[in-house]
Amino acid sequence: MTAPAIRVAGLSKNYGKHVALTDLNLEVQPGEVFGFLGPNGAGKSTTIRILLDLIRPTAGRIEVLGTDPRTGGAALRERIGYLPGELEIEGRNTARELLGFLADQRGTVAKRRIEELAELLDLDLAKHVGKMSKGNKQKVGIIAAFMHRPDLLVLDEPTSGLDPLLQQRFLGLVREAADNGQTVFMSSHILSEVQDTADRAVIMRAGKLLGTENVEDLRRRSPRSVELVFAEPVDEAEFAGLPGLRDLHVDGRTLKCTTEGEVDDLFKAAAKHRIQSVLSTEPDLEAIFFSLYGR
Amino acid sequence: MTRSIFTQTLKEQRRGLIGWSIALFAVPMMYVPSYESFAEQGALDMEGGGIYDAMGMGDFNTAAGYLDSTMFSLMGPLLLLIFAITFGARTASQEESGTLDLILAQPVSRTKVLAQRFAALTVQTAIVTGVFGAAILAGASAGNMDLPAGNILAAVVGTGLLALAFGAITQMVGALTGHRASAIGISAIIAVAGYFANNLGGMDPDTEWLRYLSPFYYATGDSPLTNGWNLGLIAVLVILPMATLALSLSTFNRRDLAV
Ligand SMILES: Nc1ncnc2c1ncn2[C@@H]1O[C@H](COP(=O)(O)OP(=O)(O)OP(=O)(O)O)[C@@H](O)[C@H]1O
Ligand SMILES: [Mg+2]
Repeated sequence: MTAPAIRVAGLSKNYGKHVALTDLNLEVQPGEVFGFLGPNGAGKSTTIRILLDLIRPTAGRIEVLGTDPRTGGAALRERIGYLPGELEIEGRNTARELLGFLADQRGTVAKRRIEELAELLDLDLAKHVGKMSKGNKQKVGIIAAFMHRPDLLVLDEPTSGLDPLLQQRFLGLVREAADNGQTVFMSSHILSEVQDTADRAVIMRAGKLLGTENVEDLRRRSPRSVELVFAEPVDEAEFAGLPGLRDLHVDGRTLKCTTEGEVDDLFKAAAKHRIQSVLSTEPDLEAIFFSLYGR
Repeated sequence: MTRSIFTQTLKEQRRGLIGWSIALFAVPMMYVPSYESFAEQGALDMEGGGIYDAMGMGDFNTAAGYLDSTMFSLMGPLLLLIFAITFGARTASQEESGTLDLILAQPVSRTKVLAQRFAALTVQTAIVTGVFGAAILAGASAGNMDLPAGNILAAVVGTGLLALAFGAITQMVGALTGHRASAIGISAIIAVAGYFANNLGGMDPDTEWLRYLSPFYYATGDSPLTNGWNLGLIAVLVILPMATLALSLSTFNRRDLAV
């Protein structure tokens, strides 16, 4: 039985009078991809920066790879790759110079690794980091986190600023890390990017944990807004009584509703007509909270 | 070559360092070599008194007085302090921008970051002070100043150490607060207060104790251009940055970063 990659017990953090985290409990197993979900201001970055010993907890016990980050120091950070949230990089360095400098602090980065990652993420290493767009800075941060193949990756909103194609490439990197047996702890306020890769996820809001969820369950149970366009006008009454359907609204050929759980009933009813198009959008986290945990 | 925080800091600030070196070479070159011609024209036969004393500029008429008034009373310390204070704010400004998060995600301790930054600041201060000193020595020789080079060096070294002390104070306020503006602002206030404490304290025996509180006193308080080295005073300026660094390290290690 190996120790958890991350264990957080009774963690609280106040910024002066402002309470950012209350009594957080969390365990991440080695080799797991773990999603850390929550809307803006939930306390994700606060938790993550405590794991990295950038800030200190007000109360609680923390173990990262079996060590208290407070005492683990540099030796512990050798085994961690961290991508800061709201990453800001200044300076006249080119990406190559900056990443080379960061790699030198470790001395364990394989020679071609930075180039490989840059190619994968479509990053021009000769550009000056200070002048880069947000997305390109984010790529630099991702490379810095992944380059030394750490045992634990702690990623704070890793896909923010990346376009959809690169989000996919990034998720590929996460999967590759997971296949290597590395542990990944990533925060997000978007369920879909976590659900594609994560085994488990927690949801937090206002400094409190709402529950640990199997990501599949979460996805199945979360509400989804669906828009169907039919070839001819349909009657609202046909759909009105269906289970798991809310906010039904039919306007001529267009049906809009919110579904919870399986969409089987809706589609069977709809299949009696010719369907021209289907649009199903994922709800944001707030909507999920609302439906899972009430107000 | 393996890059360290130390070498990387020197590299990242090299342009600034070159700029400051040029300024600290040019300024003595504008004033010092003209001593001889000014003295021959009698342009320096002016009465000192009140306002000049308050600015630490006692007398222009001797070589030592001229050099002290033009270079070591105000201009030299002013430039070197502005240099050291802006360079000393480096870590605080990186903390504020968020870049420090990325550096500290690597296996380097906070102590190492700050200590190597201090080492870089020491080297940078030594370089600009060296340039400043070389320019003065060259200027003094061109202007036929009859001053022992050792005395000039004593004044230069004292002023350089003074600058280092203020760089260290800036770094300490930065380590304490994490804000670039506080680091620079508070050090600048201490510098201005120290400057006046030294000069006003020197004018009146009743307030003479004020001088001893001022770092400026330990740089040029014993008139090194006339009296040469005063190792006791210099020692204070060696210890001051060290003690400041020790304080910086202990507070920096205890604090929440970038909040
Ligand atoms: N330095 C600070 N001083 C005071 N309050 C802070 C500070 N940093 C964060 N907070 C507060 O703590 C709470 C948690 O913030 P945190 O940055 O951890 O949220 P987050 O989940 O990362 O949000 P986001 O998705 O916007 O990044 C918020 O209410 C925030 O306002
Ligand atoms: Mg955040």
